[in-house]
Amino acid sequence: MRYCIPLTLLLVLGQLALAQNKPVLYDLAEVPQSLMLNPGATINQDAHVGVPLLSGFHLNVGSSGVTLFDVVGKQDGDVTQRLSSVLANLNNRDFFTVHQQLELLNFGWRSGRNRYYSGGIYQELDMITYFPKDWATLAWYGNTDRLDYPFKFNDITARFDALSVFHFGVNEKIGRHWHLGARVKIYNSMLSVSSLNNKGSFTTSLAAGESANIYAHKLSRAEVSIRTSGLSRFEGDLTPGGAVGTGLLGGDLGLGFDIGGTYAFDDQLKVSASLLDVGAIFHTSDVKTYQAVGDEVVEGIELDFPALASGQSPPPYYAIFENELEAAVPIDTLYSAYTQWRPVKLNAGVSYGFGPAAPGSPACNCTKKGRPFAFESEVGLQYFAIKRPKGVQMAASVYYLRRLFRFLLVKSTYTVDALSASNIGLGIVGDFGNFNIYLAGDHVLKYGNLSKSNGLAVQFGMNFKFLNK
Amino acid sequence: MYRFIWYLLPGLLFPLLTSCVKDTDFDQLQEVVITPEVDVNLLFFEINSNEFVDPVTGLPRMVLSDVTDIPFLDDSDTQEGIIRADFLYEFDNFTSIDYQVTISFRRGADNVTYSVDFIVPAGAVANPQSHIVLDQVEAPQIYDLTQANKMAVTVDPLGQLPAGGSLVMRSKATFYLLINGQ
Repeated sequence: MRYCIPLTLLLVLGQLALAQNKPVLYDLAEVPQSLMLNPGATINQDAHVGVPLLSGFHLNVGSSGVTLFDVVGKQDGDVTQRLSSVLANLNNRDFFTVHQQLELLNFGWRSGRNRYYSGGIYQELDMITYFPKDWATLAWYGNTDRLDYPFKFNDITARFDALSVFHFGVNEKIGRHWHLGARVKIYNSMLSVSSLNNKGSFTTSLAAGESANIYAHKLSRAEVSIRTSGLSRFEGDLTPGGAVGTGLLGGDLGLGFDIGGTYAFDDQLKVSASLLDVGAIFHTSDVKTYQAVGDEVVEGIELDFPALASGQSPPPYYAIFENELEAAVPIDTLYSAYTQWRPVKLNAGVSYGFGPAAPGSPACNCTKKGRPFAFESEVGLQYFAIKRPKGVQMAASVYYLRRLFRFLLVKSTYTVDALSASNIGLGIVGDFGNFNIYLAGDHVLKYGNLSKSNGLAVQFGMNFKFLNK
Repeated sequence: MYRFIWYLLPGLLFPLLTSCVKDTDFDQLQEVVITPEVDVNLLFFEINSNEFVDPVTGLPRMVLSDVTDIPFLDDSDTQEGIIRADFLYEFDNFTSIDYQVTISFRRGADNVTYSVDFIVPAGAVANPQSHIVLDQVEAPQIYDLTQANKMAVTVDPLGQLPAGGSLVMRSKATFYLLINGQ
C-alpha cells in the first residue's frame, strides 16, 4: 500500500523526534521567528510583520524506538511476532509526541538604533506520552509467567496541553559584542490533561502468608492520578465563538518568560544561548483530578456458608468484594487548583562565518543601516534540551549555511537526538523585496518513505521585513 | 548561477511536497492475535466443623452450599476471548471425614452451565490431608462455562458430620485468552 500525500496531510501523519527542537530556524537572523527561539538573537531587519495565520507554522509528530514500518511495514513473517519484537525492544522511556504551533500574529520594530521590540500570539498543542511498557506487557502476555514482577504505575506518564500564548519581548544590542533579549509570555491554557508522577505497583505472587488464597494480588502504595483542566469547555456544542473566547484569555492563565543572548567575538565567530518557557500555568477553573491512592492485597472472594432460612439469599459476596476494594483504593475526584510548569527549553549555539561577503552584503559592518555584513558561508554547532516528564531530552546539531543569492539562503543541519542519529534538516529562506518566506524540515532523507522515519518536523512561514535604507 | 536555483529549489521543495508513506499494509493489523494468560484468585473458604450445625435451630446441616456472582465472565468480550481455563482447587482437610465437593457455574439461580465434583479425602486435626484438583476446561465446554454469571460450591460430608477440625479451600484460575485484531 502506498500513500503519497501533500505536505499538510503529511504533517498529520508523519513522525518526529524532539518535538520542540527547531535546529534549522535557530540563530537564523534572516527569519524573524528566530527571535522566538532566542530573544537575544541578532536581527537583520528594522521591522517585521508576519502574515496573519501564516507567519509561523510548526509541526512535529514522532516516536522513539519504533517506526510505522516496524509495525505495519510489508515484511516477511508473522505480524504478531513482529509486534512482540517491537514490544520487547521498546522501554518505558520511549515516547510518542506531537507538537504543533501556529502563529496568529507576529510583529516587531526597531526603536532607536539598538532596541528591537517584538510580540504576537501563537497557539500551541503539545502532547507526549511515554510507552507504558509494563502495562502493555501485562495486556500482551498476561501475568501467568510474570509472578512476582511489579507492574509499575509510573510507566503511565502522559501530558497534553493546548494553549495560546501572548508574548512581548525586547532585544537590545549592547556595545559591539552583545545582543541580549527577554520575552514575557502570558499563557492561556484551553485544555490540559496529564498523568504524571504515578507511583506504586501491581504484583501477583504466591500468597506466602500475605493472602488466605493461592495468590496475593498486591496493589502496593498505589498513587495514580489524571489531572484535567478545561475538559468541560469542549463538552457539548463548542461554537466557533466559544472556541475563540477560550483561546483569547478565556482559559486558565499562566506567566512565563524567555531570556537569551548572543555574544559576537567578531564578524565571524559568535555564541548564543536561550532559555525558553520558564513559567507555569495556574489551573484554577474547570479542574478535575481523578486520583486513586491505596494499598491492598486482593485475595479473591471468601465464602461464609451461612445458614440461610428459606427464602433468604446468600450474601452479595461480589459486591462486598468490590466495596472493600474501593474502600482500600478509593477513586476520588478532586476539584482543587494546581500549578503546572511549562516544559522549559534550552538552546545554545556557536557559529563561524567564512568565505567572501554574502551576495548583497556590504563589505563591512560599518554602515549602521541597511543589510548588515554577512559571510557567504557559515558553520556551527547547536544544542537543544527540553525538560520532559521523565527527564531532560537533548539534541545536538551541526549545520552549514550558505547565502546563495541576495534573496536566498539554504541551511542544512545534521542532528543527533533520542530518536535518530541520522537526522538531516534542510531550510530555505527567501527574501523577495520585503516579502520573507521560509520553509524548513527535519529528517528530509526519510521523506521518500516516512514509514521508516522516527521523526519529521516541518516549519514554514511568511513575513514582511523592512530595512531602513 | 541563477539557473542553478531552478534546479535547487525544486530539489528542496519536492521531497517536502510529495512525501510518501509506503511499503505499509495496515490491513495486516487484522491478523494480529495476542494470547495473554491471566492468573487470578477465585474463591476461598474455611469451614469449621461446628458450621455443620445450624446455630439457630441446632439441627445438623447435611450439605453446605454457597454461591457468589462472578460478573466478569458474563461479558461478551470475555466470552469470546477465553479459549481455555485451568481451575486449581487446593484443599486442606483437618477433619476425619471425606467430603464430596461440587463446584458449579450457573447462569441465574438454577441454570448450571458447567460443573465438576470430586472427593476430598479425610485428614486429621493434627495431620491435615492436602488435596489438589486441576480442572482444565477447553472447547466446547468453555463456551458453556463462560455463559455463567455465578459460581457455587457445595460441600457434602460423606457418612457423618465432622466432629472437629476444618475444611479449607483455596482456588485460582488461569484464563487463556485469544484476542484478534478483527
